[in-house]
Parts: sequence; structure tokens; C-alpha cells
Amino acid sequence: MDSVSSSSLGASGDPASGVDAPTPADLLRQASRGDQQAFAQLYDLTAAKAFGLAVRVVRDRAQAEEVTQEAYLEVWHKSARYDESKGSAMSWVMTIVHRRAVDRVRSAESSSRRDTAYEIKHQSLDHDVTAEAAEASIEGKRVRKAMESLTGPQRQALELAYLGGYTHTEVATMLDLPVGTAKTRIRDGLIRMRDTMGVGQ
Amino acid sequence: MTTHLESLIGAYVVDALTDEERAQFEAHLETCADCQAELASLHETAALIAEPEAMEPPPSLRTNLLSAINEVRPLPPEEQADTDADSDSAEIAPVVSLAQRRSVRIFVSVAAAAAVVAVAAGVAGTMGGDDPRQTPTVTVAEQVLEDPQAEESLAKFGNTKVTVTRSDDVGRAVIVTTGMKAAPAEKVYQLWFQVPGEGMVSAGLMPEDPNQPVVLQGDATRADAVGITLEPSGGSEQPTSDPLAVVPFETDA
Repeated sequence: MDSVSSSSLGASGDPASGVDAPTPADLLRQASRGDQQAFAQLYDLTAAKAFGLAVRVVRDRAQAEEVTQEAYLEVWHKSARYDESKGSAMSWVMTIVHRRAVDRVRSAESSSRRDTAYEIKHQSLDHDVTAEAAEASIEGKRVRKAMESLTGPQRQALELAYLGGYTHTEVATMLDLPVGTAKTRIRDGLIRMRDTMGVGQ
Repeated sequence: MTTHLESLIGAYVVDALTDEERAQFEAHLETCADCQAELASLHETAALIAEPEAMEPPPSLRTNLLSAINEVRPLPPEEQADTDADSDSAEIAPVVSLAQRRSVRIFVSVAAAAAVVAVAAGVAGTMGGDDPRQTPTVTVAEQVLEDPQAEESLAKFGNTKVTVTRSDDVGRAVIVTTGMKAAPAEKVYQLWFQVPGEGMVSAGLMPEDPNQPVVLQGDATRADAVGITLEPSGGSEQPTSDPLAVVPFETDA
């Protein structure tokens, strides 16, 4: 049988078989009514992805922490505005984090970030090996695979835009493309990736 | 700019648009069923791209955040202003949208030499000491909205409806929007009077939650239109982007 008891997820001690393990969407709804506990749980479920994204985009841990905190404050503030019919709570949170991260790098344009613009390599940062991290990395592998299924130019444009935080016009300039081409590659790359990953809808 | 707005959807999803492009795309999105249908799945996909980047944040972040939320009150749910009732049934005239480049161009070109008006948040609140003859309990917004002689002008962009009410007696105008989204981070909606001979004169900023009556700052009687633009936080002295909407007054000032 199961008896997984070895402290999988922090807090709330719900059994692995829990019928009512709340989803991020549930937690968000509760948070919108002022439930800080639910908000903390939502944070625990989503923060590693959010923080990882912020680090990737702003390329600076300290700033990424600020960005992540600001983003989650916004999540708390706007929790009632989340509309389940428009997507998952996870992607809603990630959208907010991403927007904040991109705003941060664009407003700090003068910084040295642009010097390393072309370097899309990322430092292999080791994270704690928890059950969740392991799970995430299985999903992470699928995502990497899906990224590899894109054409080189699609992947390049998509990464510069999403992970690099560049506008499509900047991407076009960086890749020596006509403006219309960069935005098309970004869109086509996303669509291909969606289809490869089997994202619903 | 004559981009096909639907082709911007990918760039929109990954935040690769300028603020102006984003505002334009969002206005387009409100009316484009294809884009709406596509949007959710693309957002889900984009969120996945970050998956391999996952990294545990330091515990201090959690502690700070959970103490910070004590000071922030969650917003109430958005009012269900425009769901089914008004989607495309009610014809609103005159509708002026971004597409109508002509008025837009006038709006921008007149912008050359306007007087600089102090910019401060123009919230509906009591403009108390403004006119001592008025009873202080009636706000300027109420005075304007309740003036039977007041002139109402309507416009629509995307799902946002804009009503501007001008009272010549009070000398002020009030803007009421429904379905208007909060401005993007570090941006603000700014209101403008288009004044013949003066150009664009700032009429204040919209509050963070825009869907409430806002008294436009300054003399409304000389203006022949009201415009809304998206500006950097704090507002601008002159519009720096094409207006999202222009609401002309019907009777000449």
C-alpha cells in the first residue's frame, strides 16, 4: 500500500491519498478572501518555478528575490481577479512573475546585461533534491525535449524573448531578421511546443 | 503602424511587446475570438518553458513575503460589468477606436505646445475647497453626473466602455469606464483634454482601479475631446503614445 509518510510536502499533513488536496486554483481563491495560510501553500507549490524564472531573466539572485516577492505580492493583491476559465493558476502566477522580471530588466537597461546578450547558456545551478524537485525535473526533461523539437531559429527566438526578456523587435535585430519574422518565429515556436507537450485546449 | 495584430499573439504571451504594442494587442484581443481561444494554451506553454529553470528560493523570501502581505488588502473581484448583456448587442455611438486614425492623428499632432498642467491623481474624491458655494457633501463628480443639462459622450475600445459627462454649469467633466483593465506595471492611464489652440492638456491620471468615476482636472468647457493614453508611472507632460480612445464632445466648446 502507500504509507508514504516520509514528510513529502510541508505543512498541513494531508495524506498522500488526500481527496481534497487543494489545487493552486483553490488556494488562490481562498487567498482572495484573505486566507494567508492558503497563500503560503500556494507559494510553496509554485515558488521554485517562479524564482527559477526570475533568476533566469534578471540574472541576479538578489534582484530575482525582489522580483519574486513583488510578483507574489501582486498575486495576493489581485487574487480575486484570477479567472479559472482563462488558464491554470500556475500559468497565471508565472505570467505575473515573468512580466515583473521583464519590466525589471528593461528598466535597468543600462546595466551590463546587454553585454552578455547572446549567451543563452545557463549556469547549472544545483537545487535541493526534494521529491518535488525530482518531479519538476522529469517535467523539466519533457520541456527540454519539446524545446529541442523546435527548429533552431524558433528556439532561439523564443528563448531570447521569454528567457532573455527581449522585445520581438530586439530579437529581430539581434538575429538579423526582418521584424515580422521574429514575431512569427516566436508564435510558431510556442505553438509547436504546445502541440509537442500536449497542452490542453 | 499597420501590423496584423493577431500575429503578435506569441510575442504578447512571452512579454516581448512594447507597452504600446501590448495595449494595442489587448484592445484587439477583446474583440478577436480566435486570439482569445488561442491565448490560454499559449500561456500554459510559455509557463512550461521555465520548468527546467526551477530553483528553490531562500527561506527568507517566504518569511518576508508572508509578513508583507499583512499590509496589502486583496482587491475585490472585478465587477461583472460586461458579460453577456452588452457584448455586441447594444450599439453605442459615437464609437471612436484606435482604428480611427484620423482623429487619432489630430489628437497627436495638436500636442505640440500645450500648457503644462500639474499632474496629480484625479480621483473622484471630494474636490472640497474648490467652490465654497457648493455644499461640501456633494462631490464634484456627483454635481456633474446629476446635472440634467450635462452632455454625455461615449466611446468604446475593446470591451472597455468610456462615458464622459461634461457639465457646463460646473465646468468639469467626469469619466466613467467599465471593463477597463488595470494599467500594466509601472504604467498609468492618463487623461487629456484636447483644447483648441492649446493642444493636449493633462487632465490627471486614472486611479489604479480605473472603473470608478473620475473627475477630469481642469476646465472642461474649452475642450473638444477627451483622450486616454498609457503613460509611464507618474504621467507625462505630453502624450507619449497613441491614445487608446478619444471621446469627442458633440457640442462645440
